[in-house]
Amino acid sequence: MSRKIRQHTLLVCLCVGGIVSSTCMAGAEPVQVALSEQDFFGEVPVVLSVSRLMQPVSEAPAAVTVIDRDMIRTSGFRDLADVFRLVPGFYVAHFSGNEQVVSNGLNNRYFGRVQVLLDGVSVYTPMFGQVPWSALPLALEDIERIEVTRGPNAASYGANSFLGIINIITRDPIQDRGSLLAVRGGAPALADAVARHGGKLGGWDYRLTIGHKQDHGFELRNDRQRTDFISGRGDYRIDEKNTLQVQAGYTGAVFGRGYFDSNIDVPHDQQVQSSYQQLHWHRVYGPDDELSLQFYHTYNSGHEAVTSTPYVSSGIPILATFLRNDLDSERFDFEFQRNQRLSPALRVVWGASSRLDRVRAPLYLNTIATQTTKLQRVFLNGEWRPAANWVVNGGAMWEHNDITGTDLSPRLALSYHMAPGHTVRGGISRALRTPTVLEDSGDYNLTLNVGIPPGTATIPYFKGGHGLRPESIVSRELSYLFESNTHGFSADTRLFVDRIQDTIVPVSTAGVPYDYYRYRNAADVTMKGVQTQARWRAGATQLSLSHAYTKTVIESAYNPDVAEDLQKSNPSHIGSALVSHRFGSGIEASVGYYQVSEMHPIGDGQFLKHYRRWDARLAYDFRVGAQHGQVALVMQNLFAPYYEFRRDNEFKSRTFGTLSLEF
Amino acid sequence: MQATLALVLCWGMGMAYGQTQILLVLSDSGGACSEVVAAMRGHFAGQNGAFEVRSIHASEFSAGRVDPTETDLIVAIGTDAMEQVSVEARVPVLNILVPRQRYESSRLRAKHDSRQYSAIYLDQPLSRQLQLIKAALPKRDAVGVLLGPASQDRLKPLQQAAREQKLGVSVEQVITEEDILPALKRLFVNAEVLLALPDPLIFNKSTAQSLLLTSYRAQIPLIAYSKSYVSAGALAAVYSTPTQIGQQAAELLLRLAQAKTLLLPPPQYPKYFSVNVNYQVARSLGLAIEDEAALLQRIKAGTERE
Repeated sequence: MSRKIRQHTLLVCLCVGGIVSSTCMAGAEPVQVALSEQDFFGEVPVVLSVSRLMQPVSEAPAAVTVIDRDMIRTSGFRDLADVFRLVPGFYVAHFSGNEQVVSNGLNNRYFGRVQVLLDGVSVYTPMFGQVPWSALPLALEDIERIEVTRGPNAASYGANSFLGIINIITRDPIQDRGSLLAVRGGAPALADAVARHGGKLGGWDYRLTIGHKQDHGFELRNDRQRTDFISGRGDYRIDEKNTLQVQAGYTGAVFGRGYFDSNIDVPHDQQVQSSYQQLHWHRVYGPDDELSLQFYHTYNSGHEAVTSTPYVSSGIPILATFLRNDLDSERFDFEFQRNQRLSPALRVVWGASSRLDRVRAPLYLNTIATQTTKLQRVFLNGEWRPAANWVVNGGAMWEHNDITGTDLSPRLALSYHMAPGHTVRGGISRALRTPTVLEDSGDYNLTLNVGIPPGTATIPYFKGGHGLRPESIVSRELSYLFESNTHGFSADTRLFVDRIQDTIVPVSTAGVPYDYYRYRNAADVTMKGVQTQARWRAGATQLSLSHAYTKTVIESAYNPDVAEDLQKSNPSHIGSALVSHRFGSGIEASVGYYQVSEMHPIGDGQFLKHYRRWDARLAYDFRVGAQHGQVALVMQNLFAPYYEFRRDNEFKSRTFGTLSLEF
Repeated sequence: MQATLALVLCWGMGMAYGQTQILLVLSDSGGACSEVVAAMRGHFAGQNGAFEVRSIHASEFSAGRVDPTETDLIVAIGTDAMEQVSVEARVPVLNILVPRQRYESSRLRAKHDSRQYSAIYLDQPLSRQLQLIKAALPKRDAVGVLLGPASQDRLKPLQQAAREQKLGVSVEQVITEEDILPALKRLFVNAEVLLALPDPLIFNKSTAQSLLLTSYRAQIPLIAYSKSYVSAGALAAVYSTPTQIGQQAAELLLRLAQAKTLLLPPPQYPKYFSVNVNYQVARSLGLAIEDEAALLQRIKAGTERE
C-alpha cells in the first residue's frame, strides 16, 4: 500500500500545483489611484468573518485556554507539545526524546483522548490515536495561537474530541512578509534551524518554511532525533467573496528507538515520514454568513528493523532474529461547513464530512492487508442569545463509522453574564471515543529463531478487542469567569465531573507467564475536580497561572490491577506559572514554573514522584539597520533533575541559545 | 441607453416664473448617486416647487447633450460628474458626494468665482472621527494613523484636532503599498486604536485583508470611514449615507431659494451622519461598546460643545 499512498500524495501535489499555476495568471487587481466616492461606498471583502474571529473565553461554550505567540515565545519551549504544560490539567511528558505525550486525564503513551487540529487538519494517527508531535511539519514561529478546549466537544469536533481539543492556528501569510532566519544551539548536540520566506506572487500571499531539528535526547535512552521539514501555505483571493487556501507540509525524520537493556528491541533507528496537503475554499457572504469546503490528506509512515541479540529465556536459547516494523497510515477527509445567522439572536453552524482512514501495519496487526475505516458525520451547532445577558450554546453531531456504528454526541451550555466581566456557565456534553485500529484489531506477535529444538517460536504480546464498544463520556461543568479589561486581568475556575464508561484498557491475561495484553472495555471512571487559570497583563509584564486538582474514582473495573493503573495515571495536582517582563532596553526576561504530583502513566510508563521544574529565558532585541534580530538564552529545569514518563528519562538542566533575524 | 436615463424631473410646472433651473449631473446611473437624487427629490416634493430639476448622466453632459447656460445651478454628484462639470460649466456648481481632497484639486482647475463653486464633502471632519474614538473607546487615547499620498495633507489638521480632543496621535507615512505593513507594526508599538482616513493606496480591496487582520491580531481596533469596512471587520465607523448627503444638499438649495440668491456657501462637511459598530468584532476583542444610538448622541453632543 505504501506505494499507493505515495501516488496519491503526488497526485494531490500535482493538483495543487496546477491550481497554483493556473490561478496565478489571474493576477492582482489594478490599484485605483485617485480617491473617489467608491472609497466610501465600494464593497470591501469581509475579512473578519465569524470563522476568523476569536471567541472570547467568557463567550465560549466550554472551558478554553488560549495560548498566544507571546506565551509560546516567552516560555522558551522548543517542542510544540511542551506548550501544553501551560493548560490547566494537561499532562505533558516525553516518552522519549523524540516522542511526546499530551493528554488530559487517564494519561498514557498512546491514546491522548485529545483531538488535535492543525488549521483544521486532524493529525492524530488512526493506528495508535497518537499525535506525531515531533514529526509535525510545523515551526513554532508560524503559529498564531492555540485554542485548547479542556473537555469534550464532540458536537463541534466529532468523536475523539473526548477529553479535550487542541486547535492550532497558523499565521496568515500576509502577516509575515519578508524573511526570517533562526538558529538554536546547545549541548548535547542540540542544533535547530528555521528559515522562512513570505511574500506575494500574483494574487497569492504565500509562506514557505523549512526547518531542521536535532538532539541526542535523554542520556540513558536511544532517542536521538534528526528531523527536516518543509511547509508552505498560499492564500489566494479569487474575488471579493471567495478565497482559496492551499497548505502542504512534509517531514522526514530519523528517530532513535529501542532500549539498551533489551535483547529484542535493541537500540536502532526508525525512519519516519509525515506529510499533509490541504485545500480550503471559503466563500463569505457577510460577517455571519459563510460557506467553506475543505479537503485534506495526511500520511504517516515509520520503518524500523532490528536484529535481536541472542539470549537465553527459561533455558531456551533464543537466536539472533531479524525483525521489522513497517507502519503506513493515511487519511482523506472532505468537509462542508456553513455558518449562518438565522435571526439577530440566533446563529448556527452546520455541515457534514466524510473520512477515509487506511492503515497498514504487518507487525501490529499481523496482516499485510490494509485496514480501511470510513467515517461520515453531520453536525449542527447553534448560539442563541435570548436576552442580552444570556447565551445558550447547543449542538449535536451524528456519526457513523465502520468500527462501532452510529452514534450521537450532543452538547448544551448556558452562560449568564451577571455583570460586566462576571460570567457563570453551566454545561453538559457527551462524547465518544472510537477504538483505535490497534485497540480493535491489534495482533502483535514476535516470531523469534530458537536454538533447541531448531526452529521458530511465536510469542503473542497483545491482541485487539474485536467488537469493542466506544468509550463514552458525559461531562458536566460549572464555571465562573472574571474579566477586567481596565486591569488586564482575567481568571476562571471550573468545577467538573466527567463520567467515562467503557474505558478501553490493555488488560494482562491471567495464567500467561509473561505480559500478554488484550484490549477490553474494562472500567468506568469518574474524574472530578477544579481547574483554575488566570492571566494578568500590565503593560510590559505578563503573568499566566494554571492549576488543576483532579480526583479519580474508579466506579467499576475488570480487575483490581486495571483499577489501580487507571487510578494512578492521573496526578492529583498539575500546575504552571509563566511570568515575563519586557524592559525598555529591548531585554525580555521570563520565568516558567511547572509541577506535577506523583503518578504512574499507563503504557510503558513508570511510577514518578512529584516534581517541580523551573525554566528561565533571557532575550535581547536588536536592530541592524532596518533588520530586526533577537538573541535569547533558555535554561530548562534550573534545579534538581526529575523524570519524564519513565525513570530512565532523567531531565537534567538544559541550556540553549537562539538567534533570529528578520529581514 | 444613456438617453433613457436622462430623466427629467419637474416640480411645480405651474409656477414656471421665478423657478430656479437646477441640473443634477450624475457620475453613475445607480448606487449612491441615485440614492442622493431620490433623497433630494423627496425633500423637494414637500416644498411646492421652488425648483425645476433635471438630471443627466455625466457622460451625456460631456457629450454636450444639454446647454449648461440654460440652467441656473448645477449639482454635480460624485467625482466623475465633478471632473466633467468643472471643465465645462460657467454656472454655479455645487459638488456633492465627493471626497474633500478631490474637491480641492478640482477647485484649483475650475474657473469659477469662490461663491460659485462649492461642495458638501463626503469625508467626516477629523474632530467627529476622533469623537467616535472617545465615545466608543473612552480608555484608549493613543491613536495611530497611516497617511498616504491622498491623505498626507491631513497631518497638521489631525495633530490640531487630536490636541483639541486631548488624544495622542502617532502617524506613519506610507508611499508604496509595501510600506503599509512595516508602518503598521511601528504604529502598534504605541497606538491603542487605529484611525483609517480614506486613501486609495492604503485602504483598498486588496489591502483591506492585511490591514484588518494585522490590526485584529494585534488586538488594535480599527475605526473606519465607511459602513463596508465595518462589515469587513473594522470596529466602528462614522459616515454619511447618500440619503443624508442628499438631504443636506436639498436643504442648502432651499435656503438659497428662500434667500433668492445663487451665491454658494463655502465647502462644508456632512451635517447628518450615522454610526455603525461591528459588535461581533467588539466582543471578540473584549470591548464593551455602547449601542449605536448612544454613540451618535455622544458625538453630536461632543461636536456641539466645541
